Amino acid sequence: MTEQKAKNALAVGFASPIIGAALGVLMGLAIFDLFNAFEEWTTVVLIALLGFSIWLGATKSGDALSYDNQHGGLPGAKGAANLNSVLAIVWMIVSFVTSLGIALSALQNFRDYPVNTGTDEPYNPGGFEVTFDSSVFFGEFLPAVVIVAMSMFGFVFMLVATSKVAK
Amino acid sequence: MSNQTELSARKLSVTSLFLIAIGATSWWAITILANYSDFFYDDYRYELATSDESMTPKGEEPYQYYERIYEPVVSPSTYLILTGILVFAMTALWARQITNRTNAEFESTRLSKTASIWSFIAVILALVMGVIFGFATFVESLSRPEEIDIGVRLLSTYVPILLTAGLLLFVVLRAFVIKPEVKDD
Repeated sequence: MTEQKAKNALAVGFASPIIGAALGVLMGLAIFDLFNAFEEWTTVVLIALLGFSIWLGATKSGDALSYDNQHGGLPGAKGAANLNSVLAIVWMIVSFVTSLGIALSALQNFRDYPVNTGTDEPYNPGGFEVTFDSSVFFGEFLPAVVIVAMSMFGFVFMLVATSKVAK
Repeated sequence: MSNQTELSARKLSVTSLFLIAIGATSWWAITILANYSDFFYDDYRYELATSDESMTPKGEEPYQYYERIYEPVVSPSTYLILTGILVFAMTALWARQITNRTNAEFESTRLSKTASIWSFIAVILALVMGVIFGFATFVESLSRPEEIDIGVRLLSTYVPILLTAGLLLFVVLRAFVIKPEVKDD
């Protein structure tokens, strides 16, 4: 890797998470404004976008750090790698908690409560049935599974990316 | 450091990080399963009751409603949550063993340090989860009805707390006291 390439990698290492976060926030806002709703799959796309930008930042800052360890001259490389590591941790925690919340909320929707028929019959809160609803499974539960897998394994890839060894 | 040892250290560090990720994902899945099982085993049951006639206004019929009755059962979710913590703790311990071995056998790298820190955090997290679970089980058991089946009481409170204490003891000793010996070739 040449010095110029290492400098470019360092620039991308710093810029990528910022651009990704800004794009993610703007995209989320635009979707909310346009459709007046925020579906679970939209969350998956936003978290994936953020994760990709942090992973790219981690990989590039890892390249820059690897160059710096071998040749020196890039004092900001360690800072970029540390920044991306911290962002990876925050991203992992937020994604993990989000996925747990979405999954628990989806579980509640698998309960089928009796419809109020308008008669004088008393309402029985325990009289629900647990049924498989494919729209809840694919629309609410599956996104949570995708997010948790993405957050856990994406996190490992990010940590590995920031810890490259000089070639 | 030769390329071969560098690769081995890297491989071991990545393996330990993946182990932690697998443990956390398993904990997530088991927690969801535990919540799902709660649909079928509820501490409350609903019984059709009729309002007190003396309390009903004149000219009106007494009305019916479902009364909420606290009747604890041995819920599988208690043991499922404990299993989730156990799985996470075991993978964290395994990851910690691997990082200890890596630190003992190879020169320290940024990745091996990261793996070592995360395996430590995972062990601490497992311990914290165990403490929270034990304490929550204890607090939950304070709201008991006057008459309770002793078997249910034992299985839903005493046994889980004992098992949690055993798990915490094992994890603490295995992680910080009884470290496996590393061969010195």
